[in-house]
Amino acid sequence: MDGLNPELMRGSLELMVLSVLSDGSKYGYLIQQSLRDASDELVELKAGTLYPILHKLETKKMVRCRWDDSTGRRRKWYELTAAGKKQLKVRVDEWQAYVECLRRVLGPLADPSSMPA
Amino acid sequence: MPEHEFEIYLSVLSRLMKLDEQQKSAIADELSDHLEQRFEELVRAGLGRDEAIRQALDEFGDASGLAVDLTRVSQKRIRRFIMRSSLATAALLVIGFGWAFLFPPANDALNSEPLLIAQDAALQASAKISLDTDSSDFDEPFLKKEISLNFADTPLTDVLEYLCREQEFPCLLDAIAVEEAGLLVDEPVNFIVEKIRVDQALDLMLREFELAWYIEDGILHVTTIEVANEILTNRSYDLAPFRAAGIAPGTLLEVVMQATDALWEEIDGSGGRVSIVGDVMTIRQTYQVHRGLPQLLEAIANPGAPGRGIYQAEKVACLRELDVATSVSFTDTPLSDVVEFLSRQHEIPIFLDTVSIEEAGLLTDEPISFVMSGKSLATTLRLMLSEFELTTVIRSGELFVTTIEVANEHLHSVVYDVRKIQDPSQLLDALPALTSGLWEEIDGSGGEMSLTENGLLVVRQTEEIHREIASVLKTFVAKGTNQTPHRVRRTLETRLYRLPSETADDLREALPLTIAPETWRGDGPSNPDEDSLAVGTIQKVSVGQKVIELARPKSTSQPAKKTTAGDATKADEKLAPPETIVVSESVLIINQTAAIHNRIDDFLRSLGLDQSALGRKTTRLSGGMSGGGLF
Repeated sequence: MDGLNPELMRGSLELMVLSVLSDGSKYGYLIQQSLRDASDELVELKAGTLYPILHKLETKKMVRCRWDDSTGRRRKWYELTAAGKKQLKVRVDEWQAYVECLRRVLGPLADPSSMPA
Repeated sequence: MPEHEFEIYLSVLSRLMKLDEQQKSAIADELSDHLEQRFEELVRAGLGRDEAIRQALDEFGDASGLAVDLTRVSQKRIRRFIMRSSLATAALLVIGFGWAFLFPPANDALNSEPLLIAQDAALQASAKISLDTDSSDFDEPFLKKEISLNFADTPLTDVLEYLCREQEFPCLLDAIAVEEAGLLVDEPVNFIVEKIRVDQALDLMLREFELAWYIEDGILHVTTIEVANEILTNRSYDLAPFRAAGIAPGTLLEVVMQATDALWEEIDGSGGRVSIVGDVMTIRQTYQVHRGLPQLLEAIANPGAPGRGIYQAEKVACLRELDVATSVSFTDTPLSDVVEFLSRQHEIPIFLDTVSIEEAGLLTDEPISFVMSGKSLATTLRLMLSEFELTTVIRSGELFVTTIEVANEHLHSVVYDVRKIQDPSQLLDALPALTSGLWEEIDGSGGEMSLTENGLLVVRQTEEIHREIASVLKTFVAKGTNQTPHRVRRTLETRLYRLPSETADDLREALPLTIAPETWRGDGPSNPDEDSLAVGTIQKVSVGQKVIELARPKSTSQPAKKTTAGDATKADEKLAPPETIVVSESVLIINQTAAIHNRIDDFLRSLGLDQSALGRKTTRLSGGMSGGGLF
């Protein structure tokens, strides 16, 4: 299986972006790479998808940003706000409840031993 | 440095984004940083220059899609900013089209949730005022002003600019939504009205484009119906007046949800919500739904004097005029001229629903030949237009000529006062049976109705069916309490049988045991259960004596009514002198359904009591002893 079902992923993209920001501030390209690394290269978030998400999170005050001109190029760094951290926690709980629920519904169909790698 | 290709991409993107220059350059800087970094990495991984550039750009996708996404995200920020700033400078005239506001991006001082303030304000106000209508966005005096407009091929943007400048009210056209819906912001508007309210003018003018309007924080927003339907706000109402009127919260919920042309609690989580906390009912709905609710709720809590419809979802100014007699004589007169003539004669605006009429393959100058005099405007219009399958509807308080098909899709609510009708719950069965409309079809279409505990019937139906309902209800109300519209199978009638007292006594015992015993009431206290089959009653009243030989005037003038048969019989025996044959007579009063009556008659005939002996058997009683008085 190469990559994940994008339909399945769509609802969790914001959550993933928030989560990679939880261990410190990052800029867009770094967020993209962290996601790829953290997911064993299963999550390849397109730049065209990532930036609207980041800007939306910024509008919603989940992340704040600052500019860094020291690299010779203007670079925009993002970090979680207090609201963003709170939101992340809520979304993680929601996700866990959802997975738990789905596992119960699927029953033996979702036996970990029969799951594709 | 491979910047050239990236620069082209970014400049195209910038031109496509509907944001201010500062936002555009920030986005360009950020994306440029990403592109260069990606490019460097790809080159390090061994790709050629051109290949690396292509791949880096591919990952961003096409510029127009990205521009739309980035604009939408940031444009909300602008919209919020304007709402907030308008609070501080309320008199400021803001006219513009979404991205045209050259404001810096929102900073931290700007609350990201401006709606919350409005919610709290509404809640607090409602705690003090019963039936809280105090939300300035809904009571803008600007909306109630009368205006005359005359636009001919005027671009939509200019129309709004004119309106807002004239009325000194800030407005905002949601250009993005409008353009996404395939419309132009300078769509030509043709709209001529005289002396109508601003809110009605907006309704009428925008409907043609499937656009909608709402006011938020003192700004008039014009956007697509789709977008407007997603903008929900809360308004709260005091439940105390409803409790005082005996209305259960559940009934109120049902009425509110049924009477409004709105989405409620859809399965996908969209749509409005109603919740009740203590004595406060909070409704979360679109601006347009909120607009009409206070009047509806007011009509339900305080019905006032009984009358026809005491509330119309649409305003009713032209309803009066529809009842006024008119005379017309047209020969091959174009429809549009006919409408203009009637409009002038009755001094009310009458609109042609041009879009629907033309979609139905008709012309607005369809020639009309029609002569009629002395009939109401409503009747005249209906008869005249029926030939073309056209009719009239009232929308936003104005009279429209449209196709019958469209009219039948347009339901509106009327609250009918049915307090004068005994047991109005029967209307719920009776009205669908007595009117021609569709009711609660399986596909969710058709009219609906509900009844409140304080005797109001809230009906959602088409104009046509409302007319029928009004006339049906008029008959019921006119008949008052004596002739309630009983369910047919339960209609009781009273028949009187004049019989010798002894026979009457026998029959009084025998009939309930012999004929359909389950349909007779027992001797116990009256049974209030209206669903019970046991509805029949039988009573005997002594009415005097029949003297067979020597007549004695005194005995025939004996008091006609006794309460119990037993007493009457004893009295008769005492009075009867031994030397004459005097038969005391009684009347059996039987209250039963027609079917049982017929069986009783057959039974009596079989006993040899022929028609003549049965005297006034089919006489109906009226007044105090009628059906209504006995059960």
